[in-house]
Order: sequence, then structure tokens, then C-alpha cells
Amino acid sequence: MPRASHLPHLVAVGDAEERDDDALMAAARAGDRAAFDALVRRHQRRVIGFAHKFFDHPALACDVAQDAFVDLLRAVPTYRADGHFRAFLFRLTLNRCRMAARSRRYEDGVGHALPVGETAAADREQERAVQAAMMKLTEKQREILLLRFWGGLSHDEASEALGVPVGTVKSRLFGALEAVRALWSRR
Amino acid sequence: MTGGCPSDHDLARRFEGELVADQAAALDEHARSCLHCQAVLGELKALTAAIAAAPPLPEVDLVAAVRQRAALPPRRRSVARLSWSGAAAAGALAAALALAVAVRGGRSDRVAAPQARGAPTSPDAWVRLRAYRALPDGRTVELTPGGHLGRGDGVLIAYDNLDPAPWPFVMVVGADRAGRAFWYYPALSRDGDDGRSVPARAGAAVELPDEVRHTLAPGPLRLFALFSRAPLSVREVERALAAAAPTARRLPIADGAQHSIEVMVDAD
Repeated sequence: MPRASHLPHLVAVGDAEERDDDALMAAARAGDRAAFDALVRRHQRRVIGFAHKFFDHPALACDVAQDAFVDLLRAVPTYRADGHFRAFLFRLTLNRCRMAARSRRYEDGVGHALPVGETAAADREQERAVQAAMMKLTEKQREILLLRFWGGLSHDEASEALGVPVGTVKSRLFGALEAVRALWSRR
Repeated sequence: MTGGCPSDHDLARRFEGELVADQAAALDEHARSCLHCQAVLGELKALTAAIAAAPPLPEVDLVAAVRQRAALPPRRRSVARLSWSGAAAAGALAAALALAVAVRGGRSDRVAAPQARGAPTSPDAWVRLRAYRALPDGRTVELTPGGHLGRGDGVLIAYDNLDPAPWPFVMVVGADRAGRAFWYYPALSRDGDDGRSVPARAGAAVELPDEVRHTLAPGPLRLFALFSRAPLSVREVERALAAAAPTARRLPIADGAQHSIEVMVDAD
């Protein structure tokens, strides 16, 4: 939103904050702005990367990530510090991805899987091929693969993030692995 | 595949460590001598490694953007309309920068963007137009595709310029279905005015400073953000608008990156 202060350019970000996520959320609840900023800087690449892999669209990814962190900021007063911060943050991210996918706001970007570039470097070619296969999966399949392998969530954490039983996570995960492998093998 | 191979589902379960010990041992024993199962397990390993690999994204610090987006109620920066002379000044600045680029580079032709390793092939994927409707009460509302705009409303512009080699110039123009152009950056208010792209900065949600107001015709208005390596001229873009279909989402301009959104201008 245009305002008096301009947003920063691309900057190298460091994270000297050593407190864990729950401690930072508690500090943010107590009014420590720097604690929340440290949380954003700690997790922004993971969240942007999730949305980027979900949409295959970096500008959309930044948009969605901003919304997810705004949701996190608004959740500060009510967040329960129970050691499940990552699952909580990915749940917010996932909700924003789903909303974006259904919103006309993103009509020009969603669902347009980008082709594998002929000029892609060899060491990235496989990642692009896998991403292209991912974009052909259903949203649910893509979500579970990203939570598990990009987010590094355990089955239990993925269950929390998705709000479904662990058994559902597993069956969805195994099905998604089979599906993406089949698509990738046909490349 | 041999008749005794485990199913792909069981191989996926084994990969995830979800088979009980006896089943896992039996599958491992089989896989040791089965090229098919070895290949499937190898593919699962490669696939998940690719999913876990970091995508080629620039370093972006979202803190300020998040704080800004969370601020309620939103306030606009100014209600100043960029005057014709302001537009001319912006055009002159862009031209001067272009000249500087040409002198420093020793040539005046357009510079090709280096392709990031493994980057998406479409440069459009790295840019985004954000437009905001300035309401009379001082609030601003983001214009989403299909969103509504009053005929005389002011418009504020921001953009994402996240290409690994950020675009140095940007233009923003609106076009109605009759093919009329409404210039936002550079802001031009008279037919026949000329101007050039304005300098662009790298980053997410980069704001352009001024509110621009045109008297728009009711109906669909498509706003285009045009990013380029060298300044585009207003006349060049208006020729492209004339050549494009009325519903085109992209203008026929070589090189560069574009993003557009269509909004609806309400009748009074």
C-alpha cells in the first residue's frame, strides 16, 4: 500500500536472533517488534519458496508470503506457544496459497506452469522438470509434497498444518509420490 | 518389472519409512536384486531432493512490506496529481538515465537480461503490477482484477520487480476497450504528449510516488506495467496498443516483462 516510507530494496538478510520461534512469538506478544521481524527474516525464504513452488511464479509467491506473515502478525495475540510454530506458519501459508488460487486477484498467474527452459543449466534442469510435474498434480497432492519435502514437516506436523488426520496425510503423501513420479518418468 | 515386485505404493511407503520391520526387510531383500525397484527408489530420492532444493529467488526482505500491509486503516501518501510538466520532467529524467546507460555501456541498444540458472523462462513471472484506488476519504483500496474504479478516482501504483537482473525501466498505462490510452507512468494528460519509461527499482511492492487521476470512460480498463532494459517511448507503446486486440493481456512489445490487470470503471 503506498505510504510515506518506501520499501527496502533487495538486501542481504542475516539472523542473529537465537531465541526459538515460540520465544519470539511470546516476545512479539509483549510488544517486541524486533522479535516479530526476526521471525519474518528467519522464515521468509521458506515461506516464499513454498508459495513459489506451489504457483511456479515468484512474484505471486512474494505476494502470498506477505499475506501469510500479515496473518501471523495478527495471530500474535492469540498464538499458543506449544512448540508447533512451523506447522502453524505453514498452515497460514497454505491457507493463503489456497485463497490466492481461488481469487481473481491472481487470475493472470495461477495455473500457468512455466515450461522447462531449454537454456536451463544442467544442475537445475532436473528441478525444473520436477517442478513442471508438480504443477500437473492436484493442489492437495502438491500441498502434501511441499509440506513434507520443502517444509520438512513430519507426518504429525503436516497433519496439523492441513487439519486432517495423520492417516490421511500418509495416504495422500504416498499417492502424491506415485503420481509425481509417474508424471516425471514420462518426461 | 517382475511379478514379485512390491507395488509403487509400498515402495513409496518404504521410502517414507512407513513399512513395519518385517515388510521393510522383505522389500529391501527384493530390491537388492531388482533393477526396477532400485530405479523407483532412486527416482523417489531424486524427486524429493528436487522438491527440497531452493528455487532461484532473489534475497527479499519482507519485513517492511508486511508491516505496511498490516497497517490499518491504509493511508495514501499524497493526492498530488502529476502535472504535465512533472511528466515531462520524469520523461527527461528517464531519457537522461538512458543516455547515461548508453554512454557507460558504449552502445544504445537494449541489453539482454542474464538468465538466472534454472529460472523460469518467462520474464513475466518476476514482475507484478499493483494498483490502488484512492478513495475520497483518504483510504486506498487495492484494485484486484475485476475490481471497480470510479471515473474520476485517483490511482496509485506499486510493482514487484524481482527478476534476478532487475528491470531498470517501467511504464504503466491503462487502455479501454475503445483503444484509448491513459498514462500513469509517465503521467500524461494530453493527447499527443510524449514521454518515456520511468526508472524502476528492484524489490517487492515498490511504490511509485504520486496519485494519478484521469477522466476515464465507463467499462473495462486494462492496466499494463511494462518493464524494459531501455526506456520505451509513449508513442511506441501506443502503437503496440493499437496493434493489440482490445482484450489482450499482453502488448506486442519485443523484450521486456509485462503484467496487466483489468478493472471495471463505473459510470457516474
